[in-house]
Amino acid sequence: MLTDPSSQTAEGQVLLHAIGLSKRYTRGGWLARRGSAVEALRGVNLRIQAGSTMALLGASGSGKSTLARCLACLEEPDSGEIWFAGKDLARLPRRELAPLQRQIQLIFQEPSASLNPRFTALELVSEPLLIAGRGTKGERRARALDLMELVGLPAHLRNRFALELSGGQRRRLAIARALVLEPKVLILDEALTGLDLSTRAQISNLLLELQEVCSLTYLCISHDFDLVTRLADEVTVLDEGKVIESGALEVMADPHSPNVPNATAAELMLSSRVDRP
Amino acid sequence: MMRFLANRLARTAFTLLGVSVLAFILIDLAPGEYFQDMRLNPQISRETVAALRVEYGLDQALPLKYARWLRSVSRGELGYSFAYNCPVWPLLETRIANTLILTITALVCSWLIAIPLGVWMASRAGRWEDRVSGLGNTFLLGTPDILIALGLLAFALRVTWLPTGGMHAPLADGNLNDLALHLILPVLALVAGMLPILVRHVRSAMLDVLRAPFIAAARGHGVPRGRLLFGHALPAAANPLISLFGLSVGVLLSGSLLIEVVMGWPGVGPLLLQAILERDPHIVVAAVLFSTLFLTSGSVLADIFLYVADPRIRVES
Amino acid sequence: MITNTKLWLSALSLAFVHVAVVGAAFFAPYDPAEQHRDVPFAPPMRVHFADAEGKLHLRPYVCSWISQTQDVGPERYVEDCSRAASLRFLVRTQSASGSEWHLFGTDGPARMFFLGTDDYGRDQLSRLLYGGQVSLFAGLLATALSLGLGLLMGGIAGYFGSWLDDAIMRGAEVFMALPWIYLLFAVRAFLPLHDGPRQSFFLLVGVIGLTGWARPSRLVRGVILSAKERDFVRAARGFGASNAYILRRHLLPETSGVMLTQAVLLIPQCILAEVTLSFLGLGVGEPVSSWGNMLASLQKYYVLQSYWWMFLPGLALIPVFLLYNALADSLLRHFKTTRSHDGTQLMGRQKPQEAL
Repeated sequence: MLTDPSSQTAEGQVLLHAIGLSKRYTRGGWLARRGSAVEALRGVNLRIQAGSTMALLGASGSGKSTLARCLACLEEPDSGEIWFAGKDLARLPRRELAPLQRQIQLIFQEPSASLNPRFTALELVSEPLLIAGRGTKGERRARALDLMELVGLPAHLRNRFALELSGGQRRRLAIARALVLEPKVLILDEALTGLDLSTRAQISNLLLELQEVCSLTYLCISHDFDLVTRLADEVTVLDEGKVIESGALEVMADPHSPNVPNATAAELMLSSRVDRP
Repeated sequence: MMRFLANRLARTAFTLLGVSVLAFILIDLAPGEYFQDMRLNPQISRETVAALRVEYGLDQALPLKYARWLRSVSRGELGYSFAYNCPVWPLLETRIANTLILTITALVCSWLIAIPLGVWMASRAGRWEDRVSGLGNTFLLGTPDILIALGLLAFALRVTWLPTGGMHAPLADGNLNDLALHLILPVLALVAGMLPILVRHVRSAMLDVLRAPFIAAARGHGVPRGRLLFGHALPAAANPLISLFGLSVGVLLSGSLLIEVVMGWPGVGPLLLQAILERDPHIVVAAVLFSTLFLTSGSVLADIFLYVADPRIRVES
Repeated sequence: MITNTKLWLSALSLAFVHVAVVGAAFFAPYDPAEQHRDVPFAPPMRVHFADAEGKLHLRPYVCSWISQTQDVGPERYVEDCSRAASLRFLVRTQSASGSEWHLFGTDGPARMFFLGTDDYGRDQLSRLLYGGQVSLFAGLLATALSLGLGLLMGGIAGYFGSWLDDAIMRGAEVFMALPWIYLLFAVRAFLPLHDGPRQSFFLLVGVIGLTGWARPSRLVRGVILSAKERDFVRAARGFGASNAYILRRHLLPETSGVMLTQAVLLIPQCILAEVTLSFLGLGVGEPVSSWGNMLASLQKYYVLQSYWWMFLPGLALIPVFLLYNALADSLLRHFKTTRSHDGTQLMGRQKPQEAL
């Protein structure tokens, strides 16, 4: 399709719409044997409403991270369309893509890996502004400090290195950094995984607050259903690169509802961990 | 195994080709050439020089010169020497043989000393014997080859029974004793340069292995010390040492060039130096190719040893 | 920690050596080109504190050398203490370029040749100090060149991958296929032989530097290959960072460990390369002194046999190499035991390839 299929009216409009995304990885370069390719995504369709939270569930290896990277324009899908702000991101030339792509930010799974250990907290949060060429050094610094405050990081941590912070603090830092360019969509890859229960509660509260304050749309990726139930409005389930189920949270959570067509999906829902053995 | 060998040989051929092309490009880029000095000589007319240049093909374009050289290689001549006025190969032949005699002898000697010494030092690690030998090793490592060679020569000058350079005494033809006598100094110089590096690595490889549980187990079974060290530990430490062997060939070749020049050993080294000073390009290319070939053979040999010695590599490939 | 002490000690000693050499104009008693034709191959002076009568002098003094050379045979000298001179510190001398300060000098007819003289009667100590400038700094500059090239090539190969990576790595293989000295000779062979001292110095530095890029580039490539897959690089891309920014700000700092250890390993190699080439007449030539061409006179048997002080430039290399080796050892140990902030090791074990 060449035009945006989503509705153009204000409330409840679809903000991010992916159609038929496919991606495969080949291994081994030009000497690879046949059949050594991995189909990470197979014709994935996804629709996220503005202001809502979509949960993306699936076992490890189901293609969640690949989908996240494609939506954040960090990787190019082999085929398919990604509609955002009236444009197909998968087809846009690089220069036009840049300002739009900044509005979709990905928060990576492992903050200690996605925060350069040589940068201080302040440098990390202000880096996106530096790259985007916005503001003077002083302005960048001020904005970075504002954001740190917004996510609940005390100002005295600003000169600490990422690995001197606790897990929860690192996650807050990653969130602050993702917010500094004022994105519309945040893709959270396993945002709550690996945290202890109290930190998890704090971070999910923070995410809910921020969604209100900054008018954000979330795509929460997880392998654990329980984790995202607090946050999600809608759920999509991915299995081996294909969407096997999607719908509103209430529908999904009730396996006895007649609206759950797929027995396998229901099984996945019932077990609290959607991991493969 | 065969596929691996074929692969390596192909890569070697490619590398040699690459080196020769690089060398020829360098020749072409170089300001000045063999006949440059001759042009300055007022006694030789310009026409003569020009005619000579045409005769030797120096006026042709680079690809033509290279093609001409390749043809010469296929004929077994390896190009033409302007200074000696004859094909390169006969000049190089004996020199290569001499260099090989020196280098291989030094290679064997240094490894024959390095392995027992390194093993012994590892077995005595931390004790005074290890510390003292370690200090000596470090000191030798810091001493440049030139100094060792010159020092040995100075020593030989004071002592009458050692020849001070050269490969043969004037009238002793092919006498093995004479050859051995003349080998002593250069081999000693080369070994002294190689030994510290080898000993260090043997020692550290052995130390790693000696820490392993299976050694403790063998000791517990009452395996005698000698067999433990050489029969159990050393084979396990073989991998990095075999790779090191391949690399040591290259280091030794580098060292031998200098030693040959300083001690007057008639190998490739002095010929190369002379060719450079006289701007005789084909000798330089041929000598460089020989050194590359020798070095590559060393590492291919090491790879073969590794393949044979380590069952894990066989399974992998 | 003992290792750190060793590190700082060797670094400081090396700095001291370099300062001494840079300050050659101050530390050297004579101009290195100044010839004293009446005393060729004079042995090192003896410094006296007590004179023939046994009287102690506060200020040490040196005596003149009187030649007693036969027609045939080496130079022979005998001390003539009737013409002596006291040693003075912080002396000012007049020369063509104005007055200069020197650390020490004499006030009388005798001259101080602490390390003897060569066949033109030039003071070896002065030549050693000035020669150190050439040799040591040729090593440093050539290393900088090699590392710079290696960083560039390895960075491009690792970051951009595909055919660039292949091409650069094949090129590196060709460079590494030759033994070090043969490679040096091959490159040196085709460059001008008889140039002025300044040109030949830079030519030499260029030759040595250009031949040494292959191994550093391999190591840099390895670092960049693994670093570019890290999430913080992806995150930067997500903010719209350009390749240049990512390379400069995120990737190149990761190579600092490799660069530092390679530098300390390369510098003595480059110094040795300069010494070797100059020794064989392919490097820096007369009248400029370098430790290499000072050793060249030892190629004559009569020098080798009779004049032991001509070995000293070679002996001067030993402490320099020992110090660099000690520094390299302690740096490697430091990197092996230090873990970077994210818990991964900065340096793996040193493989034999990196040592050789």
